[in-house]
Amino acid sequence: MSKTKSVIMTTLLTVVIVVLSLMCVVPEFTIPFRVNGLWTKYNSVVSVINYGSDLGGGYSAVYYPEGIVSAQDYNTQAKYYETNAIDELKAAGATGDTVQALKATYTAGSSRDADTALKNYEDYVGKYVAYTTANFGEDVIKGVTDAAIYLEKNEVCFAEDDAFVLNEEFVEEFGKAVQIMAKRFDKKNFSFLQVSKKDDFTVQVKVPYTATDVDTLFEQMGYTGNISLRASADVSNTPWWGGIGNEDITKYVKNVASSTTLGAGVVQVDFTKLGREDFYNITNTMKDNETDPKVYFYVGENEVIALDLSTQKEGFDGDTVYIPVSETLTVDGAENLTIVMDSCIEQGAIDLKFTVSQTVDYTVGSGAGAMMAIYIIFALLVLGSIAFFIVRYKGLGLAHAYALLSFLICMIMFVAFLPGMLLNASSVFAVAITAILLSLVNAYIFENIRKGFNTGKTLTSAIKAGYKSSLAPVLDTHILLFAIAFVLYFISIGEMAVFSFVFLLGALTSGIATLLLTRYYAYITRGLVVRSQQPNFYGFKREVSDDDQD
Amino acid sequence: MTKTNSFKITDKVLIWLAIPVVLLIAGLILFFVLGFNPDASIADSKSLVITHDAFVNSEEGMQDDLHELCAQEIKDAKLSFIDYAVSQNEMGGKIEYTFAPETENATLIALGDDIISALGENNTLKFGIYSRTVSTNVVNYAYDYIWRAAISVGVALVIAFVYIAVRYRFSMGLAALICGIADLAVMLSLTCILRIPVTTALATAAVFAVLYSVLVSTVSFNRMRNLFKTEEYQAMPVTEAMEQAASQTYKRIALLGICAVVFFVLLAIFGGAAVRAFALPVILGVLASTFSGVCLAPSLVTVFKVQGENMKAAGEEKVRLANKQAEEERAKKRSAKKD
Repeated sequence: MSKTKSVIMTTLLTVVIVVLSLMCVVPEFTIPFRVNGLWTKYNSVVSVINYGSDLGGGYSAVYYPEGIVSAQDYNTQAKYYETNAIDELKAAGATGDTVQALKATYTAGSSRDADTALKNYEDYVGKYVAYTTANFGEDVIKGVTDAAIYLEKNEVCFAEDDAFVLNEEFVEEFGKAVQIMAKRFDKKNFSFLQVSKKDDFTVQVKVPYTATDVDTLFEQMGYTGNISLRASADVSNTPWWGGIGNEDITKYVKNVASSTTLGAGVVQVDFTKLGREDFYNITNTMKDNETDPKVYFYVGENEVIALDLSTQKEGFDGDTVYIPVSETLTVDGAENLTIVMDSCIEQGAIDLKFTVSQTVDYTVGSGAGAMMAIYIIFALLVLGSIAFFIVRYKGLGLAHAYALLSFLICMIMFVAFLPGMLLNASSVFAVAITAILLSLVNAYIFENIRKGFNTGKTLTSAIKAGYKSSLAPVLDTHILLFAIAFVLYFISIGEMAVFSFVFLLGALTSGIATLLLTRYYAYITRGLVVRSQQPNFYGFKREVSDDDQD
Repeated sequence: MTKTNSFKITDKVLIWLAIPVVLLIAGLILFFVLGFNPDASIADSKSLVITHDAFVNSEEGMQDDLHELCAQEIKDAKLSFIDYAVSQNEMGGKIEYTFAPETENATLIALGDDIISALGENNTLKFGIYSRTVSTNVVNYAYDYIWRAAISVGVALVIAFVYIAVRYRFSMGLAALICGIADLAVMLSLTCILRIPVTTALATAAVFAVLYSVLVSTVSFNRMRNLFKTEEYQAMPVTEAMEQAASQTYKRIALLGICAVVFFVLLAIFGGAAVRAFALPVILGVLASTFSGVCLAPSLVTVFKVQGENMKAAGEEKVRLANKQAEEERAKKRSAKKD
């Protein structure tokens, strides 16, 4: 390549890489001119990256089983009844500042409103007991003097002498419910998931920001009770199959799966032989129902799917029935319902009922500072690598610098723009190790070129021979790592799957950057100096022979 | 040709094998006695939750001020939190501080009260409504996740073995497989012995360690494969050729290990709790792989090659003897015919 061409190409390459690098990492700023008449902010590519829950945060919700309330809810509700009782008792002529003092001066039956308010207050306060050491003893919960939750008497616990004992049946059911819910969330294959028992009797679930429609997710995953097949949306009617704590549903249904048809969610129900015959008879009867020709699948008291039979000439006869989910549900929603139904078949029904708290969006405190530190450490790695290569290989080091920056730009773009991708602690390491791999392989190739040159080859033939002799080792290393990461991606779940995918992309990009980009960049930058100076430009010492031509 | 030192790496295979085996035994004993040292994110932990009303959301940065005040109070109480999470909605929000499981509830309750009192004296934040709750958390272990990790690691090792055995040599594939298992065992054992707090990220770190081990093995075997193609190395006795090849690869492997360790140590120091939980086992994995790449892999390949040569020689000898015997029998038959 002529010097002029080389200068133009190198300048263009530098401009493109600098611009792309700035686009990736420059902090947010207001664009100094109006776009479509509006002042707009520029967001860098890095700023649109989704962070994993370990670095960024996610969504969280708490499930309260029936009979358990949070201290905050209890106090709010008790305060409401207390204020109401105080107002009504004072209005009825009682004196004092507290409910107890007012009650002492009040004549029962003198005001209906005061009687009701007092009863409501006493009923509510008397219904629950604080879950503390004082009430339940050290064996139950060590050192808690201030309750985080309140337990309903006679349901979750029983009074015994001066203390309370837990309902063993409730404790056992709750333990089973936590395991089943953890398995349900596991099947969503999130990049991060934490299902924890909080305060012994609540379940806290944390999922990443990549989870979609989280309110519906938390609601559906908390469905409890058995699968049932019903004739109407009225849950008081006896179902054909199942029902809470009733018939074993595995007699009729083998498993449930979800799929998509034309972008819409479909639930696939596989029947047993008995289930197939029974379902045919039921649907054959229900198709003629003039008011509601449908059959409904329920989980507990929640309708999950309904099969419209209005267009059927006879009942469904097949091992599998495909039921489209409601139009208001997304494909994810159909998947959630499938997971819940399948867990009823595999693990059995959850007999407790749960109330789910409002979904909160949480941010990990150390996340923002950690990410800044990670970006700075990456910048140091890149600068260190570039400096080492330029000192050792001069012109070839420049080609490596361009290749390394191209690699990192590609990785940032992949993480930012590929659907479902995110940056978590493990993917940071995947990017780092593949960047180190790129540097290692480039050093290996450059050493082979140097050796070729030292044995008397011309620069051009030394480069050709260097790449040729390095091709098999470089390909073998990249193919092997790529193949392992590829297989791991399909086996693993959650964080491991994210790691494998980023590693897979890293290995692929590193291979391309080494064998194609570095060589091309070396070809472009080589023309910056006259031919006789090219060996010096690459830091090679041997005298250049006359036949060192392109 | 590279000069040879009196210290030979390749003839000490038993020593190199003994190191991971001893570490594995120690790690297993400690694992069965104490188990891994679980990090607060996967173990029982305590949390202090400071809940606030919508007032704190009314101005940007006010929740940060609240956190600063809480963090100062926690510091004044000579306590330290593992991490914290902030959340907000239209009703208000909360900051949840996670503490080690051994932290006394009474201490956290007193701390919460101190924070609420301090908030009442703060010029800006005193207009909000706050409450504090102390909670215990028990995380449900992700057993499925751990099983998947075990299968993933097994599959990765099998792929590495098959590929290296086919593309390089069978002995190298076998050495890569043994080194991968040894590296993983050393990483997990050291994590247990050094009581490094582990999260579920340990499973991903194990996968990382296997990938790194494969990378180191290919670096080592690439060089060996190239050298063994030269006439000079083909003419050498196996042990000497292997020692020469090992001495030419250890610098590269060590440099790769040093680069990776320096980078990962920086990430562990400055990258926050989540990165640290991943980085510490990964660093151990890198060190284990560097050791096996420098010492164990060439020693194992040497042993396999020597065994292979011996078997080949024994086979050739057997064939030679059989041919000789057949020749003698034919000679006998010929002489018998002549007679």
